[in-house]
Amino acid sequence: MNTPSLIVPQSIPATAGVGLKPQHFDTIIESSPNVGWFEIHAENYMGGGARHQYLTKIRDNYPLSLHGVGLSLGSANGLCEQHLNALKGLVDRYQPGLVSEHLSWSRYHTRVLNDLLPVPYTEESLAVFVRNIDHCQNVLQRQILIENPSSYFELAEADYDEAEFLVNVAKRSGCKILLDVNNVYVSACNHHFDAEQYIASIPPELVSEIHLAGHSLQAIADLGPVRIDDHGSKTCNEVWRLYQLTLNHVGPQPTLIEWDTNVPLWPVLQQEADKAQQYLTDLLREQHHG
Amino acid sequence: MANSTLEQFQHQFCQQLLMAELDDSSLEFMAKFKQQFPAGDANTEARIRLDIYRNNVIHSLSCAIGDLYPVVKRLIGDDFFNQLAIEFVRAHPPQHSALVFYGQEFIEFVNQHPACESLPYLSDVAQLEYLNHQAFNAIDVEALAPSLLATVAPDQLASIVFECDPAMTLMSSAWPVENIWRENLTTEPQRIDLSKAVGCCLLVYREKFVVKIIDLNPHCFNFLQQLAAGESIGVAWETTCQLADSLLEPLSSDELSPMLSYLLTLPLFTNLSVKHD
Repeated sequence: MNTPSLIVPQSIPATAGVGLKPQHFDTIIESSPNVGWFEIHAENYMGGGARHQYLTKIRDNYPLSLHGVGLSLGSANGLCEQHLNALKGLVDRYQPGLVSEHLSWSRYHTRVLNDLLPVPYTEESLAVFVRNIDHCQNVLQRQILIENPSSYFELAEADYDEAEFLVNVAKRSGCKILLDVNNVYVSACNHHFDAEQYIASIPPELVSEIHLAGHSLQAIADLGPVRIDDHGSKTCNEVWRLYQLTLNHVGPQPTLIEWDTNVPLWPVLQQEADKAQQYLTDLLREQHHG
Repeated sequence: MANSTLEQFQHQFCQQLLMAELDDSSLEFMAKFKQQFPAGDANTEARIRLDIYRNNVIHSLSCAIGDLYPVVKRLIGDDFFNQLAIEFVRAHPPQHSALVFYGQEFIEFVNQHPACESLPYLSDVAQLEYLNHQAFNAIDVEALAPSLLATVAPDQLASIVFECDPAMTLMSSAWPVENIWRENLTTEPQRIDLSKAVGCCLLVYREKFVVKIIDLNPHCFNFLQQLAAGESIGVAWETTCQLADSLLEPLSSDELSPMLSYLLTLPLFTNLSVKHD
């Protein structure tokens, strides 16, 4: 076991970061690429072994954000304490600048479904999220961010639309929002709502991070095209346009390039991060001159 | 939801995601969806929407099983493996969100599956693949400080019990599984003549971050198995000698010291204590 070293929490700057993949460990350690920060999926580091050695080296040189995909904050039967403790262990060990999770669920009692599943946007669900986030924040002793999911169906019975629900969860639990612009776009296309209106309805002060990613388009008979959030390609032009609108609305925020399937060689991710960074730099320049 | 709580919704959704074929309960569940294309058939639309989630869940988990058992996959071919993996995922979804802990039951699943009967070594190969994965991802624990052994009084040596590294495991097989596994990890699988095959007694452990596999002498294997089960050196040796006697390969007491010394050269133990009966 490595001697626990004292890592000072390093806040995530309002620059472009990249989702860390094992395929790029060596390149990152050897060449120290010019990106602002890295984000990991917490669940991939809940075991031991070599991954931690790489992560420790990378964490020495870059701020780190911890993004959970399996806490299941929307589970009516509460959080899995074992999982929450494992997350707490990672937070203590790596002192990430941000910790985030999703507005979704993935576990029913002892069965884990490994997907970000939607909940009905009702008062009852709202209370469940607020209770679970409150418990999570108490155990971690810090504020978390929650991310809007992509979805493929909507439920007829709802007390809120998704944006209202997300804002209410954040306000009542005291957490912040990770606004995934690609997810807004995917869901807006799949459910025919106005993505710009969704983004405009989120109070800027609640947003602490932005995600960008690619998605795929599947032509499905009887339904027309459906957009699938697979994080397997470059961010599309429509999402870059929405990103600009988002930045105009919320100001410069840490922005992550996510790429989880068909992971390309590092230069492709660097190029995407550079592009996001250009948007952030241009925004700051405009704000300065404005 | 007026007539259905969130808990009920999640229970139903969970069932819909794992069932092989949709049924009447699916119609009831899908009736909750908002219809986006009023001109089309509501059931068809709902089914397409639900299938996106069903595919995502089964695909991501069966791929995780494929990543965990690449050699089993290679031995039986992609199509048959995918069919087995999907059947497995539906019957045994993960219990932990970190997939690094998923898939151990696949070994027994393969062992019991009628379609795998003609490949009697398959579940042993699966076991070795799992132990390799388990060792690679086991939590990091400080190795035993060699100086600790020197602190034990000579008359108490037989009462020493060890704590083992979580990466360390043992498996025995009637088949040359390590051979089968290694040969099929390469791009050009080799043919192994199983008619002359001999079994093996494997020790799987991790040195730094690299997984190592050693085919141990069967007596050494038995001795380590006793130690790993928490028996003291004295009891472990006694049991090892009894097993050796039953195989008509009696051990001499001179053999304990080199056997123990050898095991202590490997990073298998993390702590020791003296057991007082």
